[in-house]
Amino acid sequence: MIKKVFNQRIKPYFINWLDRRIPPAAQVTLDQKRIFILPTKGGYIWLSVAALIFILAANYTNSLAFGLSFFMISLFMLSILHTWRNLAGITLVSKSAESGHVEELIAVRLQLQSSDRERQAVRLGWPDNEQVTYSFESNQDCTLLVKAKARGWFQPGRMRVESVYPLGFCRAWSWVQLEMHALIYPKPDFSQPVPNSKGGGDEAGIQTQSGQDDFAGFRRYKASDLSGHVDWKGYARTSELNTKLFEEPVGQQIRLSLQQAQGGGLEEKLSTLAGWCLQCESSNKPYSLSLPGVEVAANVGQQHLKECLEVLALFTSGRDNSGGEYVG
Amino acid sequence: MLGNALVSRASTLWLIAALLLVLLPIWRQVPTLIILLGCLSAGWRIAILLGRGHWPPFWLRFGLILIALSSVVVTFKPLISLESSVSILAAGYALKLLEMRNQRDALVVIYIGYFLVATAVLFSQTLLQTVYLMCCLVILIAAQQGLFRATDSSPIASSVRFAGSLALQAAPLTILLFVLVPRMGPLWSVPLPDNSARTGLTDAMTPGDIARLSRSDELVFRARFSGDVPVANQRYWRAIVLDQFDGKTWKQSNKSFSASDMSPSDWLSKEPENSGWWKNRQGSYQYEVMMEPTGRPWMYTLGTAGAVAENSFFYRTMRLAADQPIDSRRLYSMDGAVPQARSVSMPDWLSELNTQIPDVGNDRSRHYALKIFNQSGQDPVKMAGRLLSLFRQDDFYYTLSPPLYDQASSIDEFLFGGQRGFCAHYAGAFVYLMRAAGIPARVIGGYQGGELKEDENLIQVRQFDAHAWAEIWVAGQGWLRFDPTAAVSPQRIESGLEAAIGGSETFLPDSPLSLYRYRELGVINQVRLAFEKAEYQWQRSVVNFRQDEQEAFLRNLLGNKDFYWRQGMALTLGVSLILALLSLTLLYRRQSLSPLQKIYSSFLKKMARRGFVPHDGEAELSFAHRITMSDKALEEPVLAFIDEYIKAAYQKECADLIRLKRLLACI
Repeated sequence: MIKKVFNQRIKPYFINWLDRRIPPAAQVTLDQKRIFILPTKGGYIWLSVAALIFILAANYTNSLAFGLSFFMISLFMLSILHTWRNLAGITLVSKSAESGHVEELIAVRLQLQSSDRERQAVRLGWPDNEQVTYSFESNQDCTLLVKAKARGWFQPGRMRVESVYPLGFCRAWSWVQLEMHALIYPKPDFSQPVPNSKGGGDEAGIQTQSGQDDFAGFRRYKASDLSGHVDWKGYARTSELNTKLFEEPVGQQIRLSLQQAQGGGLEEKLSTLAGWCLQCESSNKPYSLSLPGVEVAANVGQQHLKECLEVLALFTSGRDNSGGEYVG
Repeated sequence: MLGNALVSRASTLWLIAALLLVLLPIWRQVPTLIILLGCLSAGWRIAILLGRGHWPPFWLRFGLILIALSSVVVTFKPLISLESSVSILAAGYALKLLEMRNQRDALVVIYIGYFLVATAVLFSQTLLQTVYLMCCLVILIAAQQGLFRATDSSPIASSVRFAGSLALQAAPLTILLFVLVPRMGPLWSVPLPDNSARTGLTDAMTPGDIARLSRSDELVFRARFSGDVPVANQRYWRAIVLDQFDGKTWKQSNKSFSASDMSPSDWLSKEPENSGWWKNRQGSYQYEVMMEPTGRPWMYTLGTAGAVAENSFFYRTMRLAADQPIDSRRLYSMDGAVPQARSVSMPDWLSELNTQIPDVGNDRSRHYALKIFNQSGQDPVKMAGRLLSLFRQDDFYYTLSPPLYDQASSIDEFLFGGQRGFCAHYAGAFVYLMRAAGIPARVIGGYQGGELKEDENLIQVRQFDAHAWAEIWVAGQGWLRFDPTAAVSPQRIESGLEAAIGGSETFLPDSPLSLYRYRELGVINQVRLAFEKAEYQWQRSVVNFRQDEQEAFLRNLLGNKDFYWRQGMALTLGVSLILALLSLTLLYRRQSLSPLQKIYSSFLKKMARRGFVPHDGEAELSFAHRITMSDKALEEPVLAFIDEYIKAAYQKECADLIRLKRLLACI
């Protein structure tokens, strides 16, 4: 109940406040504005042990036991400074992130820079994702796997950086949002069959373009020809170096569009389209993509696939779809 | 998150080290079995670390707990005592190690460790113990920080250095809190440390007791004088008065003593003067005694004392005793009031008590006493003088290893047979003879002598200073002190036991390493004296800094007006100041910018106010060009500045800072 109220009412304010306090940036240096610190459970227990020793000292009127309890309290106060100091001044630099599909683990590369001193046991990670712990002295590169949640520009939300070193009495932490220049493509959906190829016109004759599937004849070898297409058998027979020609009907190219995708909302349709693109690419069939307002001409190859997926990733039908989600 | 992580090998080793170190100071209080359990679990844990052992199964752990608990039940009677609680804590500490798998368990182990350190200071608060426990604390801190290190290796040197520096940084704050935080009195009564096994005077004297004490160099008390210090042969520290003799042992009449026609207030009093026992006069010595715990109530005074210290009362026998057995170190001062000898009264029951001897036995001595008494004209003082010259002239020897005298006629055998003995024999025989002649007499037990530390005006008394002497009653003069030992061995009184036994017997045979034995060696003696001085100061000013001492000290320091308010303010200000200083030293990052960099950063600030911020990795010149592209008005001054700056920064020419500043001002 409380959690629900918190999530609905308080969390947006908190996130809003965090956004103003720690705005997203390509690199973030943790300073007093950005570091929060509170005692841990271990710290509270420590204080109660100190209180017990204080009572023991009072009952036995023992100065040294008083001294011990004061020492423990001093150590607690000191550890606040030390824990804070362990985080303060660390700079987090977003290095790069790979593109990927929704629900894939995206490898995010970061660099932790400790300008002046040794850092111990700094733990970082996105909530519900992999957490890593590093001790470092100068610069520390790290790679974190983060699950992509929505398509569009990759926005994994705020990352938590925390430390309880040295004595575990206090936890210092910060919520850091780093800008990441990676695109998240829709999750590919392979459930629907790829639409059949449609010819360019009605029956305007079969146009061909040279391709690789259907054998169409020979021509003399040119230096730029692929060695796999050389007619080696013929060369052995005739010692004449020829290249095999293949043909591919132009009508074979597949035109993918939003309307062809069945069912569901926009996201499902985009997922289906992404799946089709991947299938076409793997079967090496030229495909074009047409979305309202965006057209990608028919082609095949990694560059083309990337282009199509980017279009799918960034496609908006009039509404803002930033995709990112904060986790408090 | 915290808690489930496994404990690394390195921190496990730290924890084992901490366990063994923390158990060491309490090994005397805890049953041996529990110490063995501690070693066992440390060994077992190391075996697991080495991959040679398995985690103990549940039944085994349960069995070990049962063994530990039953050893506590068997050892301690009554069961509820400080020692038994500490034993259970120690057992838990040792056994927890065997099921310590994750960080949470390890933290529990460490916290129990701190608690055990706290109980260790209940048993002993010496400087050495404190230094040792500080080392334990550093090890505990090192173990704790090892838990939270990410890496498996926590190098010993750097861990200890870090833990030590943490402890040092915490020290100023600790001292401040120690001095300023108001102390509480006891909230409820607690079982005190058991002192029954301590060496020290008992209230029954058989000669063997003092011989045993003479083998110990344990500290008994220290007395600091605020004026004159008595000379060696006047240092008679009275502790017990042995006025009952059953033929074998001399005993002290205790609290419950009663006689016919005597009211309880005739025996015990808080104010001897008001009870009409005697009148006081100002004596010549004012001193403060800091006595080690004895587990017994008597307190030490220089000779007879006329006034009562806090929480104590007087016996008619002119000795001082505390309300409760003294179980912790105690400090009291004597203001120098001593009884006026002539005013001391002697009721019949007291006279009867002090002339009592068994009806049978030691016949030869009885006759001898009567003979001497008559020879001295029935004058007690003359008789005493004759007895002393007897001891002086006849074949009496002072020795700590006399022959064993038959108990039934020990006085006869000593006086007319062996003639060898030490203070207890001489004092006992002397008093017996006086009593046999009808003169009230008693044996006084306590200490004689002590080591004078002139620079501190301090006399330090150890167990081997234990002594027994005699007092006789002379009408009109009160109780007079006679020390028969002084007649036999004047060195014992003038220079102490070591001189008295000379080269014939070994001094402190049980403690070959005692620094006191090596007083002749200059360096060792200086070390010993310096250490004892430090120890005294430690006890006097730190260990004894209790509620009343604290308030007195702080009132003196802060003034009486609005005392509690001032105390609170001092505490708040002090804590804030120390924390501020610590934060400054820990957190302040020194940014040493050259003058050139300072000029450039003020240029950047100026530009930032206009909305221009350099991109990452943007060079100065391209930044300047970007500015001039969007703001033509700035073109000339900015480019001029940047040109000059680049020249100064990169061409390694002598930078013309003044010109740069002027250019900067133009923007």
